[in-house]
Amino acid sequence: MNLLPTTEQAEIVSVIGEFLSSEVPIRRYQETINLGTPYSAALWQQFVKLGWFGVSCPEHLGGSGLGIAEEILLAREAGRQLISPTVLATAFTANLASRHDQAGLANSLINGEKRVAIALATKEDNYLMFDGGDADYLLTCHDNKINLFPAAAIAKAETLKGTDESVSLTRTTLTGTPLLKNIGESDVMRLAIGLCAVLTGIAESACAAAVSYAGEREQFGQPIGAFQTIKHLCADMAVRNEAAWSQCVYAGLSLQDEHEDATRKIAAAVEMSARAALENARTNIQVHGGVGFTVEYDAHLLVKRTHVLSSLLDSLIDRRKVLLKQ
Amino acid sequence: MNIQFSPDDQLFREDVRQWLADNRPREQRPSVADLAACREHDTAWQKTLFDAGWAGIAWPEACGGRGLSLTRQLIWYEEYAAADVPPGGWKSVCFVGLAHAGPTLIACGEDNHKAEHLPKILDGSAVWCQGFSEPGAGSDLASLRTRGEIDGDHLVINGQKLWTSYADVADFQELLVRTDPDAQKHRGITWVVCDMKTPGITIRPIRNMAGESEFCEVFYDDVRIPLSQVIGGLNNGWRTAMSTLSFERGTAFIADQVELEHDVVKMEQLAREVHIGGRAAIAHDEIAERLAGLKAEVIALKAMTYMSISRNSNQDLPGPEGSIVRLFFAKLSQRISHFGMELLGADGLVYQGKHEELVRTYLFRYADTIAAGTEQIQRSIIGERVLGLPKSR
Ligand SMILES: Cc1cc2nc3c(=O)[nH]c(=O)nc-3n(C[C@H](O)[C@H](O)[C@H](O)COP(=O)(O)OP(=O)(O)OC[C@H]3O[C@@H](n4cnc5c(N)ncnc54)[C@H](O)[C@@H]3O)c2cc1C
Repeated sequence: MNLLPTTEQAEIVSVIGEFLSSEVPIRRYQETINLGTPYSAALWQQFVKLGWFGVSCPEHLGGSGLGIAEEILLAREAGRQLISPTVLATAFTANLASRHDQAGLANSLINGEKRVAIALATKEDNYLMFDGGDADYLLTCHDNKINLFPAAAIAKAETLKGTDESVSLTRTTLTGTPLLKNIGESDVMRLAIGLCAVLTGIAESACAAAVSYAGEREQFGQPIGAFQTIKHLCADMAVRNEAAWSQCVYAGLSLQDEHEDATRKIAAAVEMSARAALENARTNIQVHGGVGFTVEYDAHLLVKRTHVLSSLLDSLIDRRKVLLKQ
Repeated sequence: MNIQFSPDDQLFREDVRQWLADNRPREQRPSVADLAACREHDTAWQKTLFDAGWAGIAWPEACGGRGLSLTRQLIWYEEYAAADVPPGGWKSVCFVGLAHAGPTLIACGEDNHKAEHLPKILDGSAVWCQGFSEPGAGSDLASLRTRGEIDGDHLVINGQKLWTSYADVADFQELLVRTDPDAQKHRGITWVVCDMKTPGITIRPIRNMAGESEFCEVFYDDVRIPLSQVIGGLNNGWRTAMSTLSFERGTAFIADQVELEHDVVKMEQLAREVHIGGRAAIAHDEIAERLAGLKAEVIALKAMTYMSISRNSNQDLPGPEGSIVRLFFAKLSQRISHFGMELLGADGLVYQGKHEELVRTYLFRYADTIAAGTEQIQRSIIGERVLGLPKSR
């Protein structure tokens, strides 16, 4: 038992972390908020080169043959820089396809030819699709189930103004039948734990931003981080990070090892990571004062993306029911 | 990253489980009202554990331990918490010796100190207490004033300690005294082993809010301690104390962390039994939501415990991250017991009979955010030593 990354895993994280912070840093939103097409073809190819989409796919399909541990390590890094949900959905679907005898589909995702956007069912029998501008497939989340549709299944699409302006939002209705049959609970849980890791990355990003600002910004002749009220807010953020990340690892590995209580552990991961992301994102704004409330700064986006991801998670798992099941 | 226990670990787990099932004491631990009886009970049980090879599982072999991994120690705690056995962790009078005095001696003591004290800690023949806090020195521990003056080959101690848990049943004490009053406040302190039977020591128990006297005031009047009992060097006691505190905040409460899981199970049972407004408490949305939250948190506490064991397996001294888990545990333990108290409603006003234990736990939990460093101090440690924020001016 060891919850820390191995040397190889730490190496992957450092390469990915450096790539994201130089090519798609969260700071990018301070310059332009890129609606519609999430990432240029060239940028997408950089993800491909890093092996992002095939991280947990078998090597004969062009993947790296790694597992859930690496998936969540990547997802956490993605959360830290607010990477598009389309990147995550594409990587998840590549793995899903590879395990459901869809080698061709998996391959086209791994090599960057195709993309998958994620969509959330609403009460009105339609879907809210995030960053789906040029997606080829749609991964829908609905009543503790997921389905994969081709983009051709989109019958109607209406662009909406989203609360989270860093992802595009489209209301869609779908026709036809899904591509993959028998997507089971463990697949749904695999998507869920990935999203929990993204939320944890958001929580950590918020904490890092707050700590850095608290060390620089001076008032009353000293850095605001020297004031205990601010320091203690930051300490509470660190506690939430530790709880969320430890639980993500514990739950993710339980799923990997097919423990019978994996779903329960994932429900706990949902609770801890959603709470950490929202509380930390909120605290980060508070620590920044006025600038945290502006649209030019990225603090507000952490709050907004958290709402998107939490809603997706709510549609994947009934956290309370699972936790209270005897 | 893996959560697999090796086949050897699994065998070890089986052994522990079987042994506990066969050997657990059938009688109840005496009430804390009778500390002497508790001592007798706890030390006899510790002797039994020692004889069976369950003491000092992760202590080095040279120090009388088994020299096994922290993971094995964790397995022991997990099985221990799951079995119906006397309370472990800080509810046992052997706690200080096993959880931080022993580890401090291992880290900072000389061979003769280890040889003299460690075997007695392990087999339960010596009970330890911690004489750090004073009336004027709580959170600001380094302002302590109890004097230690050198007289020949002895330190002569005068002053007072406060909140010393189990002092009146202890044989030895980790004692912090000021040996150089002219030095800067962190520099003139010495960590010394005080034999509690030395003439000149007066102990007065203090009753806590749960109505028990587990902690005491201790007065020192020309108490002579051989200089050979100084650990980590004269005037270097702050460093030794920091290692004591890193064990106290890092690994000492693993048993309590593991046991908290069972408190939540009890609360869930209670929420199914107790009726509010004609329905089981758990049928109320708000109560179900809170309970689900607590269950998630207690699962996460276990994950955090695993994470800290993973970290501590690679380092000799637990790092400041220990304060993160300590703070999370303390706040959670209070929320859980408070939840139980709310479920009880008027029944919680009766401090005897069916719910006495639950009420006692509730009252006792108030100490969790004070003892071993208050929650405010833990936050400052996290802020400054984990996150690197500036110190207050
Ligand atoms: C059940 C129990 C058992 C104990 N057992 C032992 C024992 O065996 N041996 C031993 O030596 N001690 C023991 N203690 C003492 C414990 O370590 C102290 O109570 C603790 O360190 C706090 O010190 P204090 O009580 O003097 O409170 P104070 O330090 O006076 O604190 C009072 C309040 O002020 C806050 N405060 C103080 N300084 C700061 C600061 N810099 N920033 C922000 N807030 C601050 C505190 O957080 C607290 O809320 C025990 C305590 C309890 C409750």
